[in-house]
Amino acid sequence: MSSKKKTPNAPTLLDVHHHMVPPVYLQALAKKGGDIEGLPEWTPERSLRMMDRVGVEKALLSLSPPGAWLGNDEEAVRLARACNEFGASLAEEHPDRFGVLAALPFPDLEGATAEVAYTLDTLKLDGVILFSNVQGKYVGDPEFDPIIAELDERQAMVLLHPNSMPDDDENAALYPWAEYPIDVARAWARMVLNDTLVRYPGIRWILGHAGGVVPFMAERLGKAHYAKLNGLRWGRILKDLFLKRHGGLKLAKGVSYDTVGVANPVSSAALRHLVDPDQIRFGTNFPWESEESIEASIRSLADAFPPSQTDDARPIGIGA
Amino acid sequence: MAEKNHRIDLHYHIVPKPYVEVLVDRGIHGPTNFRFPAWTPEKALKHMDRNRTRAAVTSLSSPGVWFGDVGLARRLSRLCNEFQAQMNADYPGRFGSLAFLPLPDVNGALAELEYALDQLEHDGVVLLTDTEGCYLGDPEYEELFAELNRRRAVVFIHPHDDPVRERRYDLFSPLLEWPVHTTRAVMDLLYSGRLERYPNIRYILAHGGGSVPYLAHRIASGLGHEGPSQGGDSAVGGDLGIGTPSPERIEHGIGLLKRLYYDTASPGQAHLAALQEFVGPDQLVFGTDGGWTPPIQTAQTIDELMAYDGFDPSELSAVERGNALSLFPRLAQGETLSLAQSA
Repeated sequence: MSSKKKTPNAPTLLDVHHHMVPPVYLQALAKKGGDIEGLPEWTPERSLRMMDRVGVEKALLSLSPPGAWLGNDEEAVRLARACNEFGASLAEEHPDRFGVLAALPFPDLEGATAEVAYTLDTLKLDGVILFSNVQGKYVGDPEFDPIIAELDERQAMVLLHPNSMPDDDENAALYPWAEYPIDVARAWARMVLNDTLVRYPGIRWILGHAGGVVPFMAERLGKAHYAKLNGLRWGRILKDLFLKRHGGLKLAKGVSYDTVGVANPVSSAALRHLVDPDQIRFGTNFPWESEESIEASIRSLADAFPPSQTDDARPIGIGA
Repeated sequence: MAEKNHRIDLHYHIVPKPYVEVLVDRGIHGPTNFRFPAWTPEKALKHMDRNRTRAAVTSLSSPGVWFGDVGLARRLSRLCNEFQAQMNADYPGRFGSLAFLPLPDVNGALAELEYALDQLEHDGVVLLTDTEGCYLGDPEYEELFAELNRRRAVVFIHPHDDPVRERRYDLFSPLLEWPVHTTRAVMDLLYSGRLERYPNIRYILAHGGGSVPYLAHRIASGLGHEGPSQGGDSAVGGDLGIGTPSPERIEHGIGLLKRLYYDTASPGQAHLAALQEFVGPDQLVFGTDGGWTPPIQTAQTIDELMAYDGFDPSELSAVERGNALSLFPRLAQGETLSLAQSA
C-alpha cells in the first residue's frame, strides 16, 4: 500500500474477495454443462466501475466456485494456467487497481504445486485462492501437504474460499444458505486436526466468508486437535485439554478473516471478539454481491469496525 | 462455608444403565466416536454439586431410541421417561426432565407425549434434530407440532448422530457436524413455516444454536426456498445473491430466530458475544452438556461463561438460573424443597 496520506474520499479499500469470470473459464464451464445462466455478468470494466463507486482502491481477483478443477486433472492444469495468465495481464494493464489470487488445479498434486511456483515466482501474483473442498477432497487433508509446503515456503497469502459439497452428497444442492459457509469450517477443522497450521506457519491465511463459522466455534473445533492426536482416549487427554484449553482459540486468532457476510451486528460481534482489527480484511464478493449491497455493507462495517488510531484512516483493517 | 448451589442446568444428559444394556445387547455401544459412559444419577448429583448446579433438567441424547424398530423405540422411550420420573421423585428439587419421543413413529410419539407430560409430569420434551433423515420440518410431524403448540411445550432441540455423514467427513463428529445438524433442523422449521405457524412452542437450541446466530442473516435469506424435508430446491450454484427475498422478509425471518432460547453449552467468548448481540441475556440459558461431557470440560464451559465480561450481575443471574425458572416454574418450587433438604 502507498504510504502517502489519503484524502477521506479517495478510494482506500483493498478488496481481497473479488471474483473474476474470465471468458476462457465461462467457456470451460459451459462445455461441462454448468449452469452459466446463473452466473452474474462480469467484465473488468464492471469491476472498476464498482470499485470507483464504493471506494475500493485495489481488488485481488480470483476465480469463484467451483474453481479450475471441473472433473479432469489435465484440463484443470490448462484452465488454471489460462485463468492465471488472464488475471496477470489485467494486473499488468492496471497495476494500481488489480492484483490476482492464483487458481490452482487442486486436487491434482503435481499440477497444483507446479502452478504455485509458476504463478508466485514467474508471474509474481499476489497469492492464491484455495477452495475448501473439491469433490470431497479437503484442503487440510495430509495428502495435499506438498501444496501447502510450497505455499508455506513462499509465505503466500491464501484465501480459503468455500466450495459446494461433493455432487454425490445427498445434501449437496440443498443448503447454500448454511452448508456453503460451513464448508470453510470443515477445511479449517482438518487443518487443526492434522496440525497443518502448526507445521506450516508461514502461510498468511485469509478465511473467506469470515471463516464460515470458525469464529463462532473456534474453541469447539480446537478440541479436535487433542482428541484426534490422542486417539480419543479421553482419560489421557483430559489433562492435556485442561492445560491447553485455548489451543483451538489460539490457532483461530492467528489468521485473518474477510468481511463477506459480516455486515450484521451478530457476526461482527463474534469476529471483533476473536481478532484484532488488523486481521480483518475487507472483501466484497463482487460480482455475486451487487454494487448496492456492497455499498450498504461498507456503511455497516464502518460502524462495526471503527478506524484504528494507528492505521492511516482506513475504515477497516486492510493491510495485506 | 461453601457457596450455595444456584445454577439451573438445562442441558444435562441421562445415560440410564437399563437403556445401555438393551443397546449393548444389540451391538450398539454409543454414537459414532463415543462409547456410553458409566453413568448414574448419584454421579450426576456429585457433578452438579461441583458445578454449583442446584437443579438439572435431564434429557436423553443421541443415539436416541430409533434403530428401525417401532416396538423397541416405544419401549426405550418409556424406559427412559420412567427412569427420569423416578429421579425426579428420588431427589426432589434436584432434577427436572424432558421426555423422549419414539420418532419417526408419530402415533407412538403422540401417545408418549401425553403419558410423559400428563402422567409422569415431565417439564417438556427433547427432540433430536433428525431421525432417519427426517428433519423437524417434516410434513409427517405436523400433528405432533400442533399438539406441542397446544400444550405450549418447551422443546429442547439436540443434535443426532448421523453415522453416514460422520464417516464421510471424518471429523470428530460432535465438534462440527453435530452443531450443523442443529442448524439444518432450525432452517427446516423456518423454511417449512412451522416456526411461524406454532408460535407457542418455546424452543431451546443446544450448543448455543449450532451456527444459527452466526449465520442468521444468511439463513433468513433462504426464506421462500425449501428446507431438507420439502426436498430442497435451493441450488443456486453454491453462492448467494441470486433470488434473495426482500429486506423486510429477511428481517422477519431473523425475528423468528430471535424468539428462540439458546444454551451456553459450547464454550467460547466470541460465541457468547454473538449470542448476546443476537438475543440478549433473557434468552440465554445455562447448559453444560453434562452426563456425556466429562467434568473437566463442563468446568471449562462454566469458566468461559464466568470470564465473559459482557453481562452485568443481574444479566448473568438470568442466564445461570432466572430464565430457566421462568421456563420451568416447577423448578422454582423445588428451590425450597432442596434448601430444606440440605439444611
